[in-house]
This record gives sequence, C-alpha cells and structure tokens, in this order.
Amino acid sequence: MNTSAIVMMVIALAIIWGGLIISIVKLPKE
Amino acid sequence: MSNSTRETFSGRKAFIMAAIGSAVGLGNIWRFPYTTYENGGGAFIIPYIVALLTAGIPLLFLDYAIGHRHRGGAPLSYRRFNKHFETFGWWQVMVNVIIGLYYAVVLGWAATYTYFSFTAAWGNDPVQFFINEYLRVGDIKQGVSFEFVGMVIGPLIAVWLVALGVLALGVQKGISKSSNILMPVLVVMFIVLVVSSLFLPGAAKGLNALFTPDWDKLSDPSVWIAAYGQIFFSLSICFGIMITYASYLKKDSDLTGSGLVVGFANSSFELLAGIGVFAALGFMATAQGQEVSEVAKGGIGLAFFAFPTLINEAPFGEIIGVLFFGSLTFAALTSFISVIEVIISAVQDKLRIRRSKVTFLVGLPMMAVSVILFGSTTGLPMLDVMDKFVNYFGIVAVAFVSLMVIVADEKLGVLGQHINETSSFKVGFVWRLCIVVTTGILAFMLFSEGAKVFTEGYEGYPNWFINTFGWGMSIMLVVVAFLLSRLKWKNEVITERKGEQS
Repeated sequence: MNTSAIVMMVIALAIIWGGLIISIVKLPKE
Repeated sequence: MSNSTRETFSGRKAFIMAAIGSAVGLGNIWRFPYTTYENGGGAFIIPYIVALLTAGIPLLFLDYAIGHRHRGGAPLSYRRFNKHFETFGWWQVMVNVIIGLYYAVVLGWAATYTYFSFTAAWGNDPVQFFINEYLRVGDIKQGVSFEFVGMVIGPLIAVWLVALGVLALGVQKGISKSSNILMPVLVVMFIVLVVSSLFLPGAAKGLNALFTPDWDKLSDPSVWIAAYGQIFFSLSICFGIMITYASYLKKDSDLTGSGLVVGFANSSFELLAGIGVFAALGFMATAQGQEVSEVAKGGIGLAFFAFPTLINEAPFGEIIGVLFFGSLTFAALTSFISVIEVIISAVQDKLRIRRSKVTFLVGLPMMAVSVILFGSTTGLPMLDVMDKFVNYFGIVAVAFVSLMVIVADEKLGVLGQHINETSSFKVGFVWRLCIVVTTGILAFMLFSEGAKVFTEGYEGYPNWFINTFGWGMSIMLVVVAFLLSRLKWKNEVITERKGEQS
C-alpha cells in the first residue's frame, strides 16, 4: 500500500473506532 | 393500552443493540465503499466525518428526543408535539411501508445467495445468472408483469414470516432479543470476512484505490453532498425508526450517550465494510489483470455481480460467499424489522389493539403486495424506481419538511431541554445550528437531484413507469399520510405533555 493510503486509513480508523470506544467508555452507569 | 403500560426496552444496552441493528444495513456494506471510492477515496473521510458530527449525530439526538419526549410511534409523537404535525409522522410511516415492501425482496435475494454460495450456483457468468436465470428479468417497456418467479417468491415469503414472528413477540422479547443474537453474529462474521479478504493476493491494490486521497475532490460540492447523503441514509434518521425505538426507552434514559455509541458504531461498521469490500475487489482486479476501477461497483452490482465472480476465483471462495451474503442477510434483517416496527407502532397507537393482532393485520397485506410487485419478472426495475423515489426523494423530502416546521415553530429549544434533562452529553446552540444547517443541505439535495431526474428522466425507464411508480407513488404517500392524520384516534390518547396540546 502507498503511504498516503495507509495514513488516511489509519486516521479514519483512529477517529471513527476511537470515537466509538470513547463513547462506550464515557457512558454513565445505568 | 395506556401510556403507562407502553412497552420498553429492558435497558440501555437493549436499545443500543436494536438501534445499531437498524442503522447497520445494506447501505453500510454496499453503498459506503463505492461512495468513498467515487468521491475522493481517503480525502472523502474528511467530509464524511464532518457530516457524521454535524448532521448524523445531531439528527439522531433530535429523533431520540421526539420519540422519548412524546412516547409514541412517529404519528403519535408528532401529534403530541403539535397536533398539526401528525401528517409528517404518517408520511414517515408511508415511506417505511414502501421501503419495507422492496427491502424484503433484497433480503430474500441475500438469503438465497447465502445458500447458493455453498455450490457457487451462479456458474461462470454471475451477471447472466442473476438477470436471466434467477430473476428472469422481463422488459418493463412491455408493461408490469404478473409472471411470478418461484425462486424469488419462496424466500420473500419466508423473510416476511420470520420478521413478523419476531415483531409479534414485542419490543423486548422480539426486537431486542433478535438484535442481541443477530448483531454479535453479524460482527463476528464480518470481521472474519474482512480479515480473510486482507490475506487475498492483491488486497493492497484495492485498499490503495479506496484510501489514496484525491484532495482536489474536496473543492467539489457534490462530494460534500455525497458525504451528507451517505451519513443520512446510513443512520436510519428522520424517517420514524429512531423516533419509534426511542419511544420504548425508559423515562430517565441517557439519550445523547446512546446516540454517540450508535452513530460511531454505524460508521465503524461501514469503515470495516469498505476495507473488506475493496480488499476483495483488489484481489478480483489482480486475478483478472484489470484495474480496480474496472471491477469496482456499488449496490446490487457489487453484491450480485462482482462478489459471485470474486467467489469463483478466490481460494476458499465458498466460505467468503457464505460470510458475505450471510452478513448481508443479517444486516438487512435487523434493518427490515425496524422498518416494519415503525408501521406496527403507528397503527397500534392509533387503533389501540394488541401488538400480535396489529403485526399480522399490517404484515400479511404488506407481504401480499410485496410478492405481487416484486416477485414477478419486472420486480427489479420496480425496485430500482421505488428505491430512487421513496428511499431518496421520500426520505429527504419528509426530513426536510419536518425539520423545517420544527425549526420554524421554534421547537428545537424544547427538544434540547428534554435531551439535557436526562443525558450525559448536553446540547445547546451548536446542536441547534447543526440542525438548521442540515435542513438547508437537505433542501439542496432534494431540489438539485429532483430537478435532474425531472428533466433527464431516470435510468432510461419509460415515462409512464416513472410517472406512476416514481413521482405518482411519492405524491400518493403524502396524500395518504394526510388522510390518515384525519382519522380519529381511538380512546383519545394524544395528550401526554401538559401545555403541548391545544
């Protein structure tokens, strides 16, 4: 894979999957 | 059934799983990868994330607030909001009626192709097989056909019966339990599929095609509209589903916390789909000595033309086929269930009768119409036109009009206040601004695409066909919605929030 493709894939994964993980962790206890 | 006995999800997890099940559907698997590829590859990720944060998640919060505050299906929620708004709720219900009719057909195809994958039943020419042998597609120019195709009708009836069976069991025992089973299975199957695709020779070529950024595309407004469109259609927002599901939440539920999880989970899944699909297309291009641009497709072309071809050539292709079509089936089933639930909930609210009775009262006639319209040799063009006019124009139009009246009636503040009463993540001016800006973007999407189809036609279909099943159908939905809003409510249950009803 070329570098720019790898960078964009990693950025997309970090923001979107990171957003999911943070939103799950930040859920207050029921 | 009084409001105090309205069914609820057992808890936040049950709601989140059901809402993700609804959002993750065919669009995630076969629309996102090709939309990203066509609109700047890696550069598309920027407008996509902007659209998620400024339109997708704010509109999810809005839908949750409407449903949770008024504790009803779409028509009842809108009626309790303002008695003049009820038509918008029924318009959303009518959009779901049409989507439900054809979504079942695609679900049936996907389930059938899961079975076909074991033996690669499509042979060496999957396109010819799909069009001529499986669907036996006839010429729509000769008129609507009533020559039915057994291979389509059987699975179509089966998926209707499965979905109605789940829905008859109720919110917790049916919708929630089915999501709790299907969603983990879907995620595991899909992860195995993506990992398998990444090990295929040529996978890197596909990922290069998907993620190499074309920065010039960012100055093209149509790319930004495509990003907002992808988020909008993918998240099941503004057409009653999230209003209905949120109405089953307990009163002290955290709306925004759940909304953030659902929004990011939906995007996480479609990003994974993009990686898996393009890794597989990279393999296919390599195997055929072609460029990815020559094999890349979206929608029906990706699932029923490209993937069977790929399965024929890939090592352990049968396993990839079962995983791909199985994922498509499970993703579509949970979405299909949510689409039909919007209708059931609305009718149950209006007529105040038992859920099991409403389920079959609504479901069996819909199943019959679904078979008549889409089980014949002209089912494919019928589906294509209804998808364009109802799934695009219908949803965008009802979203635009309903958002416009909510904004114009200065109701955003009331909804924001309701969200903040129970939620961990507070909303304010920025959230309201996002809703207003998104309303404008929806107007642009509606009128620009509407003008294009009005002047150029659609896919070369004859005018009588477009006018009847496209424009005619779209207008009829509004008329029927208006008439339904004129029907009396049984036992007058519309007043829930003091001071909101005149």
